[in-house]
Order: sequence, then structure tokens, then C-alpha cells
Amino acid sequence: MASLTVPNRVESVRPATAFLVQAARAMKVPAAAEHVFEVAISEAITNAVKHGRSDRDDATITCDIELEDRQLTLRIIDGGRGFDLPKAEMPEVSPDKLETLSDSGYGLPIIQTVFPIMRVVKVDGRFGIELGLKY
Amino acid sequence: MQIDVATENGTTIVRPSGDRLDIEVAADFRAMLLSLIDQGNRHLVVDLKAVTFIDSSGLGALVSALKTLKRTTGPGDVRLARVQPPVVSLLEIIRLNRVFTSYASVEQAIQSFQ
Repeated sequence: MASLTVPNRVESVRPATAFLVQAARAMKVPAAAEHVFEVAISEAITNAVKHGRSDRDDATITCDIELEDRQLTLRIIDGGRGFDLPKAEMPEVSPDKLETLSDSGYGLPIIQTVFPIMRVVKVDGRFGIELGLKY
Repeated sequence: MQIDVATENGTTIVRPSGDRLDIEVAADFRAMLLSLIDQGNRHLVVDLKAVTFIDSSGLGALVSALKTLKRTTGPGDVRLARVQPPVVSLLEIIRLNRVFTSYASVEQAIQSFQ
């Protein structure tokens, strides 16, 4: 397992994403070669920044990645309050309905296109999200 | 992030110079697009040649600009030029290719408004 802890702030999204993507590629996970894999991880860390304790200067995000029996598992722990995962439905996109087109809500569906397993977890008393894929 | 803005034949060309259009820079990008629309620019071409990574916040900025144009009076559109393959693939995944027209070159995108 590889692990990285970064300050909970927007500037941490890029290095934390790079860490997880490089670790998955080093583990030779086929999906990690896809661009959308990197986007999905970036979205998950962005969510952690948004929903974690970014109001505290000492707040952190911990990213864990492990591979076991061809199952990749990522845990992104932000220490925020526990939450129920909303249903990850892709917002409707139609050229005939631009007035109802959403400018947000694409993050979770992107995550779920890569990671069929997505659940809220609690690690050492801190909440976060666990993402998984089998290959 | 540096964002260059130019005008040609009544079309405003917006060029983000960084390779990542993500949560770190999306707010500035959105503010720039909305400010241009607020100043009366209604034909916008976003040149994405330099952008090889975009996330939902970057795409949200484009959608926000498009919606702002469409809900105000008069013709107007946000069109994309020189979209790089990773960005094309994400546009397809979330089906935003149905609302944004892309062109192989900035010149073609400008021509499309004539």
C-alpha cells in the first residue's frame, strides 16, 4: 500500500492526483493508462477538499492506494462529516434544453465511470470515500 | 493561469495558456468568460490547444458561459477550437459534445460565426 497526506486545500489536488495516478500506473493497473482515470481521481480529491475540514489550517487529506487480487482500492480520507453518497446520475445534456443544463454535478458520474465501487468509509475515526475497481 | 483574449472579425478568442483547466484555475476562467459576455462579447471561441487536462469545474465554466449567453437576448454561442484528444474524450463521456461545437482550427471556428 502507498499513502500520501497533504494539506486540505485546492493546491493539493494536483500533487495528490499525480501521486495516485503514478502509483496505479506503477502497479500496472490497465485503467490507469486512460485519461479519464486521472480525471476521476482529481474529481474525488476535489470533493474531499470541498467537503473536508478545509476551514481548519491543520486539516489534511490522506490518500491510500492498494492492489490485491486484481482489485485496486483507493481511499481518500478528508476528516469531514460523514455523508450519504448522492446517486451519481449524469446530468441531462440536450441542445434543446440549454436552460436546464447544469454547470455542476458531473464529478461523481465521472468517478463512477472509472470506479464501479464507491462508498463512504471511516478510517481511524475520519470519514472519506473508498473507490474500487476490479480487472 | 494566463488567459489571452483577442478579437478577430467580431469574434472573441479566449486562450487559456496552462495545460490544466481544473479546480485550481476554473473560477478565474469562469470569471473571465462571464466578464467578456457582460461586456457584450457574444461570439466566443475558446482555443483549447494548450489544455490537455480538464475536469468538471473547467467544463462547468464553459457551460456557465454558454447558459449565460443563451438566456440573454440575441444570438450568441461558445464554440471550441483545437480540442485535444483527452478533452474530446471527456466531453463525449459527459455528452457535452452535444452542446458545444468543436472546430479543428481557430480560423474555422471564427468562420462559423460569419
